[in-house]
Amino acid sequence: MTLVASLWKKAHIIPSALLVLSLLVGAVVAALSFWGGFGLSLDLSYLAPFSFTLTVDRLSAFFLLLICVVGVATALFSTSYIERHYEGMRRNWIWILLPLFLLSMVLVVTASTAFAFLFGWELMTLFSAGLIVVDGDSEKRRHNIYVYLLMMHAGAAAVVAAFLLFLPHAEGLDFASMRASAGNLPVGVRAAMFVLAFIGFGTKAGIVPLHVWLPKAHPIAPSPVSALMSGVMLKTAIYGFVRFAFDFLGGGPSWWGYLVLAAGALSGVLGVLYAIAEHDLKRLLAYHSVENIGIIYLGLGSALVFTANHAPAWAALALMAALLHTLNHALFKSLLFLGAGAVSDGAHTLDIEELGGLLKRMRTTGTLFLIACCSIVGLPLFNGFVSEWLTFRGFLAGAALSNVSASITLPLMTGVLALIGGLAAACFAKVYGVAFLGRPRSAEAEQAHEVPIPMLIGMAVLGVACVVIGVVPGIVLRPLSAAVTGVMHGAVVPAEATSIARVLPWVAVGAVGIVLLLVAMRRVARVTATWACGMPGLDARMQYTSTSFSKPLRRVFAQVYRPDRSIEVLPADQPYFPNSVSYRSVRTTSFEKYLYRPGVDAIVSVSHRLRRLQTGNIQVYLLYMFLALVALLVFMRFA
Amino acid sequence: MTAAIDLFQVLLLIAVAPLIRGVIARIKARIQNRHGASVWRPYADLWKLLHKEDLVPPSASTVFRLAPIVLFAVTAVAAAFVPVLRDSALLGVTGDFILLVYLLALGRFFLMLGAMDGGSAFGGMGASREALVSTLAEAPLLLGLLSVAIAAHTASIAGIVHWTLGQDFSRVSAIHALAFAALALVAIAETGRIPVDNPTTHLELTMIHEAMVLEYSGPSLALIEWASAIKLTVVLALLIALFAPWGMATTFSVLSVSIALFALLAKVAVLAVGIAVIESSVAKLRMYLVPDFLGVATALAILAVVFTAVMR
Repeated sequence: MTLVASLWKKAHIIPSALLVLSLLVGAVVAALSFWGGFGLSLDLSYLAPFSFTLTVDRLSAFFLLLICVVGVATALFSTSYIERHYEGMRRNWIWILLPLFLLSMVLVVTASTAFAFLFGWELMTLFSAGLIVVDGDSEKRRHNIYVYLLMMHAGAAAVVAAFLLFLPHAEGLDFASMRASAGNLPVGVRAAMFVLAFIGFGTKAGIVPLHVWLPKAHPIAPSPVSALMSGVMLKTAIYGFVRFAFDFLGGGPSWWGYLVLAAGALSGVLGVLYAIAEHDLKRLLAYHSVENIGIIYLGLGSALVFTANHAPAWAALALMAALLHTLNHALFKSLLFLGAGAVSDGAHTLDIEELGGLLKRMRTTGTLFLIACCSIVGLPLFNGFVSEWLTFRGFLAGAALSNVSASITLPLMTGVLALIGGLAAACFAKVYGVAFLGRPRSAEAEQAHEVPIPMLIGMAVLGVACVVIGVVPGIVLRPLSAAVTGVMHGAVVPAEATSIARVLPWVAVGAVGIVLLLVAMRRVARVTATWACGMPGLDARMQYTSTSFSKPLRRVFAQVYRPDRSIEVLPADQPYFPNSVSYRSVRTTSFEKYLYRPGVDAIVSVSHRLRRLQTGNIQVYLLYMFLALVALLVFMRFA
Repeated sequence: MTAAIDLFQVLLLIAVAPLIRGVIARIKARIQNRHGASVWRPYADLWKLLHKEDLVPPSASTVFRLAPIVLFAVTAVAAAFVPVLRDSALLGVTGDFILLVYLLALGRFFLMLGAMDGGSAFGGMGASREALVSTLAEAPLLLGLLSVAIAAHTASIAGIVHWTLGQDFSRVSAIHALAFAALALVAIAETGRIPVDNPTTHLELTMIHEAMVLEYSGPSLALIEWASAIKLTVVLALLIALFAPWGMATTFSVLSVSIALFALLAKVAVLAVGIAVIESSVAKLRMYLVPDFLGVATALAILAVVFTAVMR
């Protein structure tokens, strides 16, 4: 009996081992295809009402690799995390939905017919929503899930419309014929397709102002699921957009590029500014996804501008920058979300104001989290830098374009990207400094403990990938340039793109050499109490908090936050001798207040008016039917 | 042989850095009618600190002791990107000015973490202020460097130097004037000099860099001080290389290298006097005026970039 019970307890090992194994197989296949360059194809049309074909080319293989590598890390992490935090039916649901969620994403990036793509696209939304529901369904969470589903379906509608516009012009809705028909499309149809794809995929990617669901939905999922949603699911939107704008349509007029650049700049700057004001670790990370999607869109936008200005080589470089940042963001953002899971496991809170001193108590987690922080900030020797460098190179090359507006706009984007980088550095210095360094700010943080080995292995896989790409980026840059050549229909990436790969190893050798030398030379330090200006000792409450750290930046960028503040001093007639002072500061993002709220209000009021049509009187309904029939007949006669 | 010179350039920058600090302090003292300490004083300070005991707060983790080391290492590597005596550098690629800027950012990131690891209020305060200043300095810095790179049609610092050497001094363009103004303002902010920060202050209302390093002592402090001296030198050398490289050796001979060395000393001396005069005649800005200061730099840098397109 005990044997059965213990087997039952360990039963999760089997599905998780199967999941890890199948993801490893997927990763190997994707890696072979990505580095080797051979394609795969599978026709499943007999299973479905529409044509349903899966194809793996180099671009698909790239995204497949991304999904599988992050998937393996997350699955390893989950084997232990899910067991420790969920039980009974909830645990089972997670183990059922998690592989399905991964599978739906695989479907999206390997589909080569519109039906297969959209099928995977919708399943992805539903499975991820299911995984959020598993974590609980309080009133507030239900509202967030509702917003998530609503925006995802609105976005999906735009994607469907973009595909359907191909119908009169292409032989079928498979990718090959859509690609072939792109040359015959009228200009207006192309523009409509682009805008629909931009909105549809942009909603999934979370570009400003379509990002409002992202900070609501990502933080409330279980941490491994947050990692997959933020690290991987957003990337399927990038995949879709690249397929559509570059592979199918082959680029377009300049305003496409400017539109994407504007969306990227707005998302990048606002995303990181909102993140700075947060102190819930997972919500902060969710806002950073908005920021990084912005950086990816800056690359995509410059690629479109280059295409419009007949500079295919530089367009290929900019697209490569965007794709590499997509991979990098998948690696470090998943690592950060898994790290957040480890923090909540070890210290039982995600409010960084309650943390502090975690590095001493969670050594490996803390080190891996630091690697992820350096990567997301875009510091050299970590992967984020390589893709940001490529993006910068693209902007610089823009100065050589003959079109004056392009040769001013692209270089100026350097300033935007630099600002984003600086703000991100400030934000992650805050996160790491407040959560992992200094003194513990609460009893929970004081008693934090390191997480079990499987969780550490899951995170270490991603951490190692971040450092390897940061030091020897050549291993990814070469196959990636081949993948880009495929998408851009033959445009070759300029040789400058790989020059960074030659110097980074030397920088690493130099810097690490000096560090090792100095570490070897340093002597034992004496631990002694910090001087507290003559007062009896420092305590944890005297440290800078997350809020105080970000105060100067919030003050400088006050126009972005527009907080509603109120100070109440009681009694009111004695301002200098109050009995109580209460301070309240509420921050609503301007987009919800000024963009979404009026729209929602308008729809609600129109719906209220329309309700009058519904009288409950059968004769009136018959009259409606009669009128509709007459209108239809008239329409048919004259149309 | 050329590689030997390139290596010598790096070591020269690292070795000479404390001297430049000493010279600036000495000139400042003279302007303020004091006698001032010897120009070799910073070396004596470093020597003294290196032989002292390293004290560590009880709350500090590994990051606290690693931060000065990382800061020193990446600043030293950053020095390998700047041409000093001839129009090349030990390390260099197209677009290496971006790598240079981000290497300095890496060092600063670790110093901010080290400051917060100390666990006192001062470290957090310094790190928070440093975050504000460096965030706003990043955009004008890269835009200013970019405009010069566009004007020179190359993205490598050595390439820019080579191009500028071929130009006529009298034909210096508006782009260079604007970019120099922007970069000079950024250099003041980046290296923590008056009017943005005061390297000699120890008053909690005013300090940025000093607040960050307040908990450091002994060899760790020596590394930080040396690294910040190297950073100042690298920034000065960068300004010289981009805007006044004349005198640098284009061919290798003992004569040309000696000329380059003297030209370099003269140019550094001019910049040192300039810094000393500014620091003695301008008051430190309130911290919330620093964004305006850097806003001016940003506007200048944006103008410089716009001009590159207009002036073709």
